[in-house]
Amino acid sequence: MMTRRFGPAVAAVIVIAAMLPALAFGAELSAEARLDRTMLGVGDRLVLTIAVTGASEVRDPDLGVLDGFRVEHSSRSQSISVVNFKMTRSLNLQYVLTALKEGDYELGPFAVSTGKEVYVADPVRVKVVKGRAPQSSSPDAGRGDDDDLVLVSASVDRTRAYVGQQITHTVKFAYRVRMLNEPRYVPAEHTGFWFEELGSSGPEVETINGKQYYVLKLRTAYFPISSGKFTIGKSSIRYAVRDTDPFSGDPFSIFGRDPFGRGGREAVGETKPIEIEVLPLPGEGRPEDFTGAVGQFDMRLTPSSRTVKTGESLTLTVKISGRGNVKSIGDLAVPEFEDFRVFAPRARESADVQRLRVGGVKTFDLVLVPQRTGKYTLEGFSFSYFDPEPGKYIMSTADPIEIEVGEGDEALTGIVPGSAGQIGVARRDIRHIKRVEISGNELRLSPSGIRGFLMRYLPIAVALLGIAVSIQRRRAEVAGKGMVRKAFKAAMRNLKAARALARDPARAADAAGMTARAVKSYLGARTGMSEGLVDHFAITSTEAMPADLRSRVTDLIGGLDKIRFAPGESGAGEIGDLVDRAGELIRLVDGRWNK
Amino acid sequence: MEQVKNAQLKSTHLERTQLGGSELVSSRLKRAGLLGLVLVMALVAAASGEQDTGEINTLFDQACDFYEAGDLVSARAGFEALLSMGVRNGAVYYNLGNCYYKQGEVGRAVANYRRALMLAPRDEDTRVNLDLLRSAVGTRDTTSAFGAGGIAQAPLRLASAREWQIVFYASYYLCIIFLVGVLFLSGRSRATAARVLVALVIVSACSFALSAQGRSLFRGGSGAVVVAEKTEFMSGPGAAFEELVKLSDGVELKLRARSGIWVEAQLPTGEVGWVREGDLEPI
Repeated sequence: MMTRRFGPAVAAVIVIAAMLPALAFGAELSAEARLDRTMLGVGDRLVLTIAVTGASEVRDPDLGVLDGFRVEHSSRSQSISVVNFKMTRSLNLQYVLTALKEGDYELGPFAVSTGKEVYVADPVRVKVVKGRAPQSSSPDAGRGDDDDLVLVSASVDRTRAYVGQQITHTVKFAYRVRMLNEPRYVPAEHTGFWFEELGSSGPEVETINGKQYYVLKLRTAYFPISSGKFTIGKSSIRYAVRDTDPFSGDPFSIFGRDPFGRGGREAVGETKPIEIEVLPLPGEGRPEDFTGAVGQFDMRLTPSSRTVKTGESLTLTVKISGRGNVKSIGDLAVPEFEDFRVFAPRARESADVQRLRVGGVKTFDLVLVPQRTGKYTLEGFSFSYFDPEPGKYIMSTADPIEIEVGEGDEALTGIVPGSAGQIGVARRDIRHIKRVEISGNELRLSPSGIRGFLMRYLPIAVALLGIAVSIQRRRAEVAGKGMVRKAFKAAMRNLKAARALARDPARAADAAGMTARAVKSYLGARTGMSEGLVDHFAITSTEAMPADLRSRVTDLIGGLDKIRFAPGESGAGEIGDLVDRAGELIRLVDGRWNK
Repeated sequence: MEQVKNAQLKSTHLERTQLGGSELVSSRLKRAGLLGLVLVMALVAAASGEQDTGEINTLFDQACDFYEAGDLVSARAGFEALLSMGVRNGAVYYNLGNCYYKQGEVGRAVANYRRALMLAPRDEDTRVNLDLLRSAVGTRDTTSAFGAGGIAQAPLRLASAREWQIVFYASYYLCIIFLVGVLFLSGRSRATAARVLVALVIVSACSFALSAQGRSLFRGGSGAVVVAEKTEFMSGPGAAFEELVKLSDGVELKLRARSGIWVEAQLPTGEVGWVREGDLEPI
C-alpha cells in the first residue's frame, strides 16, 4: 500500500537526483587581447589588456619582443564566480607599454598557458605617429544649468600634469530648488587615466552670481597613464526637482503646487569636457630600479624581532607609504643576504585619501630564516619614485637594522606563515589538505522530502499501529472471557435439566446426553473449539487444563457415553451421580483454569 | 498403525485449531512486527545516506586543485563558495583553515580548524594543525582551559553532533521495536523488553540533547578568535579605557557580553576585558 502510494514520488526523486550532475557545465575557456587606444604618439603609453576567462590556472604570458614598444609595468586582477556549481575565474593581465618609434604595429598573438593547455589571444593593431596623436574627445560643451535653478560645472586642480600624477576633478552641483531624490552622478569618460573616487562633500550654502545655492561637490582623482593631450569627458548628474526656491523665504511659495511633490520633473545636468596636457616622465636621471611610482613616498623596515635563533623565522615588514597611486609601486627589490633563507615577499596594499590626495601603503612581508649564528646588519632596501612637485626622481632608502642570531633549539616547532605558493617551513608544517569524498552536511542528518518525513514519523506510526492492535487484542481477550462465563452458566442450567431427567430411569440416556453436551460446550468455549470437536483426544491434548483434571473429565465423558449408548446397564442412581460429578468437575475446571 | 496416523492428523488439526481466535491475531501481529522491523531497518539505512553530492564534490576537487597549484585565493574562494551553498563538512573547514594559514591569517585558520573539529572531533590532522597554530600563538587548548564548559562538552569531543544524531535515531527506532515487544510479548520476555526500553529511552534523550547542543555550539557559540594583526584588550567598552594588553592574531577568547562595537571577552588565562567586535571572528 505504502509502496504503491509513494512509489511515483520516490521514482521522481531518484530521476531528478540522477539528472542533477548533468546540470553542471564547464566554463568556456577563452583569451582576448585589447588596447585602450589604437593610435598614439611616440613616447606615449597605452594599456594592453589580455583577458582570460574560464582557465583554472594561468601563467604570465610571454609577450616576446614587442617591436617599437617597451613594457613599463604590469598588473593582474581577477574575479571568481560560481555558476551552477562550477567555479569560473576571469583574469585581466594589464601591461602599460610606451611607444618608442612610429609605424604600424601588430601586437601578438599572445599565448596564455594554463600549465596543461595553451590558449591564444588574437593579435591587435596599433599605429604610432610622430608627435601627438589626435584625441577622440567630445566637442560638445555640456550645459549644466537649468534656468539658473540648477548649475553643474566641473574643474580640475591642474590641466598640466606628469604621467602618474594626481589630477583632482571636481564636479560642482549647485541648486536652489527642492530636490525630490538623491542626485545620481555618472562619472566622466576617462580613457587614458586610472581613477579613484574621492567621495563627495556638502551640501553647503554658497553664493553664486548674487544668489544662494546649495552646493554638492563630487571629486575624482585621475592618474594619467601616458603622455599627450587627453580629455576628461563630460560628467552628468541626473536629478528630480520641484520648482520651489528653498531660499525664497516665502512660506506660501508651495501654494499652487502639489504639496506632496508629485508635480516634480526629472532633468540631467552635464559638465564640459576638460583637456589635460600630460607630460612624460623625464628620461634624465631615471634610476634603474624605478618602476613607475609617482608621488611622495617613504620607506620603512620593521623586523618582527631583533633576536632570533637559527632555524626560526624572522619577518621583515617593508612599508612604502605616502601620497600617490600605490598601485603603481612595483615589486620589491630584495637584496641578497648570505646565511639566510629568503622567501618570496608577500605584498598587500591599502589606499586612503587625505586632504583630497590619494595615497596609501604598500606592505611587503619578507620571511627570512637564519642559517648561522652571529650579528647581522640587514640593509640595502631602497625604492625610487618620481616626485612631480620638484619634477625629479628620488631614491628612498630604509634605515639598516641589526639583528642577533642565536643557536636554535632542534626540538622547537616554530612555523613560518608563508606567502601564496611559497610555504615557509622551519621545523614542522601544517598537514596537507584533505581530498575526500564529502557529503553535504556533517552537522546533522538532513534527508529531505518524503525520506525525511518517513525517517521521522514512520516509527511513530508503527508504534501507534502496535498500540492499536494491542488494544484490539486485549478487547478480544476480554470478550473471550465473557463467552466462557456464558458457557459456564449454560452448562449449569443444562446440568440442572439433566438432573431432572435423571429422576426418570427411562430417560437416563437423555440425561447422560445432556450432561455430556454441557461438559463439552463448556470445554469448547474454554479452548475456542466447537462443541463437536471436543473428544477424548482433544481433552487429553489440552495442556492448558491441569493434568489430573484431564483424566477425570475423560472418565466422566466415558461414563456418560456408556449410559447414552447402553442405557440398560446403568441405573437411575448412577446417572444422577454422574450429573453431580459433572457439575463439580466443571466448577473445578473453571476455578483452576482461571488460575 | 492407522490409529496412530489418525491421532497425528488430529493432533495437527487441534494445534491449528488452537491457533484460532486470539492466537490467530497474535500470529498476524508477529508478521506485521517483522514487516515493521524491516521498514525500520530500511529507514536507518536511509538516514545514514545523503543527497547526491556530485556537484559539491566537483567544486571541492576544483578548490583542492587550486590549493595544490598554489593559487590560494581561488582555493579559498572555492571552499567559501561551498560553505555559502550550505555545505557543512569538516574537510571543507579544514582545507579552508589551511588556505588561511598559508596566507598568513592565523586567526581565521584557527577559527576554521575549530569549526572542523566540531564536525569531525576525532580528526587527527585538524587537531595537529590547530595545536601547531596554538603553539605558535602561545595559547593552549581553550576548550579545556575554559573550565566547566569543557567538561559539559566532553561528549562532543568524542563524537560530533551528527554522530550523536545517528545514535539518537538508532535508539529511537530500537525504542519503537522494543515498545512493540512490550505490547505483544508476555512473561519474562516482556519484562526484559521493558527494561531495555527504559534504557533506550534514556540513551535516546541524552543523544538528542547532545546533538542539539553540538548544533547550537556550531551555529554560534560563545567563542571567538582574534583576526586582526593586533587588537587592544581594554578594561572597559571604549577606547578611553585602560589598555590591559595587546592581543595578536589567533588568540582565542570566550565571549561574555556586548556593548556597541565592543564585546566583553575572557582570555584562556581567566582575565576579562573588552575587545572591538570587528577584530574578532565568532565561532
